[in-house]
Amino acid sequence: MIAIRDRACKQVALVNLDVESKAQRWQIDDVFAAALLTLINDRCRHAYLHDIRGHLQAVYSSFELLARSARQGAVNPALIDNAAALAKRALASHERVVLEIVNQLTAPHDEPVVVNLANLIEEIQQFLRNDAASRDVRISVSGDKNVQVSAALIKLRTLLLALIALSIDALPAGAELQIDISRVRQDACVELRSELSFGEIRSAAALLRDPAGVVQSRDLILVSVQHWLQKHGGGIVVDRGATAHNVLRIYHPLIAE
Amino acid sequence: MSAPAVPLRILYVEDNDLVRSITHELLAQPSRTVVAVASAEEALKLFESDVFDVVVTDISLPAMSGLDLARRLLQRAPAVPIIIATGYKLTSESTALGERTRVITKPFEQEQIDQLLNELCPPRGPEPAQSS
Repeated sequence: MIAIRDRACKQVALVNLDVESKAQRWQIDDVFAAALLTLINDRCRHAYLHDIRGHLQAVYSSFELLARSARQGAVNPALIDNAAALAKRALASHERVVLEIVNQLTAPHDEPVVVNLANLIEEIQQFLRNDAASRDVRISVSGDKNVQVSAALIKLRTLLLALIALSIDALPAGAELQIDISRVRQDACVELRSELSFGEIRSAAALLRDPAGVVQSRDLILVSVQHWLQKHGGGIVVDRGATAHNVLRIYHPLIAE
Repeated sequence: MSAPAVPLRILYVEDNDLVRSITHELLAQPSRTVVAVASAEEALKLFESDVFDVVVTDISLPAMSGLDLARRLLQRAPAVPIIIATGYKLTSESTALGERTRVITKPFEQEQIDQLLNELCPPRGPEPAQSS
């Protein structure tokens, strides 16, 4: 069970809105989007730290190299130029990473763009690589590399990231999370095969009217994702197969060809 | 004149091109030979054909992770010292790879990695003279 401790959970629990009212719908959307972002940013704190520290390593090392080269500069001045060039590249690379993270953390308003799902999943896989490796979990990606959808990129990334992170958390050390991308009729389908027991996905209304006034992070993520996907003509389907694995299929309409 | 000390052979694995090239230069010293590669698979291949005294690897690699690489290397050469570099602290489960495996947290300074290398591979004496 995931502990109920997130600010976002509390925010949603405190919201007393009529979810059936169309006039209020945009507020619910915003709350779900904020909740999902808060949860995923908290969950991925280590992955962000890894990105920052990985590039900081280049900055640290380049300055040490610069100092060493300066000591030997009288013998070979080209060493200093080389070390200074590496230090500049390291700083530029660090700035790029920090800007990307700020963009992700604050999720600026993003308009729909054409998104190649294989590229997006690959980017998320790379982002979570260290996180998964530290839990001794592998991520494998297979399937159609040319599936495209039209979606708000940061929102789509956030929801896929949330589901992939949930699935990683559910796997034991040494296990593998299998991700497959395909086309199913008019939809793009991302399949996550893990050992996460998704249970019944509650409706947004049921979640907000919970008499206890609290929700689990997992429920909140699933409801937020389901809510966003349904708004865009997609959805989530949980399939419990004959094996111990659970399969979560995420559908999103393909770009009309 | 005494014979030169045997250089320490380091296999360094890091997929980030910039980090790899800078750290490679930093690790390289007259008493060390550093071979840098970008993936665990390349490292395994090299390890088959060459002799290394120590392996320094990033944990986050494209296909096979640094932890998997460490396990495979230890199956082949249980005594080989391995230093795993990571952006944050690993769980104890993940680091239970034996006495000669160490974890270093990024960003580390040269002094820290030098200290670990000296601890795992104490400086050796001169190369024995070849008998003719």
